[in-house]
Amino acid sequence: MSLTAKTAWTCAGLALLALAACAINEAECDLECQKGFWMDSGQFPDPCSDDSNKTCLVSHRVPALSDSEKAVKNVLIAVHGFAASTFEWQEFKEFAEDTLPGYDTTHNTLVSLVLMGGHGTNLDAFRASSWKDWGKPIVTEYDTLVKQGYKNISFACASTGCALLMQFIADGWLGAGQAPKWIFMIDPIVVPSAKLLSLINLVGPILGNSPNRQSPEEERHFYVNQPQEDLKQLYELVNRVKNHLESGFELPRNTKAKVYKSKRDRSADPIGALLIYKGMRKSDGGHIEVEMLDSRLHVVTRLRARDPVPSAKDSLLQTRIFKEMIDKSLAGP
Amino acid sequence: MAILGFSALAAAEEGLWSVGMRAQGFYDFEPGQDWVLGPEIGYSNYYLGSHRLQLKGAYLTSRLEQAFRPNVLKQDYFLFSPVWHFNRNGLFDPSVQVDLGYMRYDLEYAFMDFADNDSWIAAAQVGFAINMFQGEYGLFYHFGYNFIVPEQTTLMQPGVFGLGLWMML
Repeated sequence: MSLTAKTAWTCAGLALLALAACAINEAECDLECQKGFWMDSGQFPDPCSDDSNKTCLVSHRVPALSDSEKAVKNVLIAVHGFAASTFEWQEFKEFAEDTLPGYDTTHNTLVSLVLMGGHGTNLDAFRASSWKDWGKPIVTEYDTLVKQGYKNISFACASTGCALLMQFIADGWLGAGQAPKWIFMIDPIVVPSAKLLSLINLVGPILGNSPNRQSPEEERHFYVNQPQEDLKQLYELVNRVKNHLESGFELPRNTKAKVYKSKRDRSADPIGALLIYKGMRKSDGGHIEVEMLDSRLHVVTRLRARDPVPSAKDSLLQTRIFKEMIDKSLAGP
Repeated sequence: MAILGFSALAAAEEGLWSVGMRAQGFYDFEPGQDWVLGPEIGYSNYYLGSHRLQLKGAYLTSRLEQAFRPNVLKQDYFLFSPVWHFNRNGLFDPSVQVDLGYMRYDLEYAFMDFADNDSWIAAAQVGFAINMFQGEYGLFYHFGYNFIVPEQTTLMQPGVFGLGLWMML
């Protein structure tokens, strides 16, 4: 075969590979998506993406409280996970703020639903955002609440939301002034279960977009398409957190933490709980609390819209965790 | 066991023994790399492809890294690595190798008792060595893919690489 022919065949092969990579990378959008029923479409944004109705952030929602009321109010800032939205903590907000039969919280607990940057709007905004962008609204809400005079502020986080909190604490960006009271972590991600994610920088163009099909209702509240740019950001974040944990860091003074981790979890490897237990210590050097949950769900505190319907055991777990988070955050130091 | 078996067979023939250090990590391009480090022995003789086939055995561990980072998990790797050298006598020696072995880590705390903390290893790698002083000393680098990576309770990842040095005995 002549050199020209070899070159032509090589170019043709490379062109076909490039075309294949582009085809894989193309964002998925079926009829439901085209009708605007997916969050990806931008036509079904998270209600907290425009908080003009003041139902999400406590700093927007209840500015009229007196200083003495703010000082005793128990605020839990709820942070969702990767590709998710404030929907992930909606059940907890309803549980904590509504009067429940047999469990009257006396409305002393407020839940602040934070929408992470780049999330809850449309796929282009998600693709263009970095993990630092994801975390900015968390720090902003915390700092605003502190400035407004709230004294009892805790965090409830899920998955990537917890990775962001750990990164910010390790870097001293959170709690340097007034420390949060409690940090409740639901399935924090430090080591992804999908180990191929470690090769995202090498094979990202081949792996492409990684659509994650869910139930129709979930697809209105979670991004279906997960662009490689965001997967790279996610992997960079969790690796930074893992690095911090292996070197060791302390929580702010008087801050306590508890990790709830599913034993079987297709998103966050349970080994992350061990790394957190070893690497993230209380300011006095003591260990934080860890509870391994007998569940196969990732973020068992969100049961709404799951398909298949969660088991009764998962429902009991959810309620117990909700009560425990409220009770612990309400209790004295 | 495999290492001991091959060592016993090798002892019956005249051959070349080497000893060295090998460090191995996962190909993840980001900070937070978990390194395992340890001794490696190698053996070849004329009947093994004119010394082109070299049999290596290594024990690699993260326990040394604990001196610098106390919270790394205590991992142990036991590897048997047949290596095919394409240019054993040359300065630049490309190679292919297979890693077969076993890894485990310490669970340390009771709350992790449910977890599987070990795995088999089967990796294919390509690499090269630089033979110095007529092969008395040398450096090597190899990288490849580990085909056995459990989804849960492991720090193992599919992309693997190693580097090290050796001297002939």
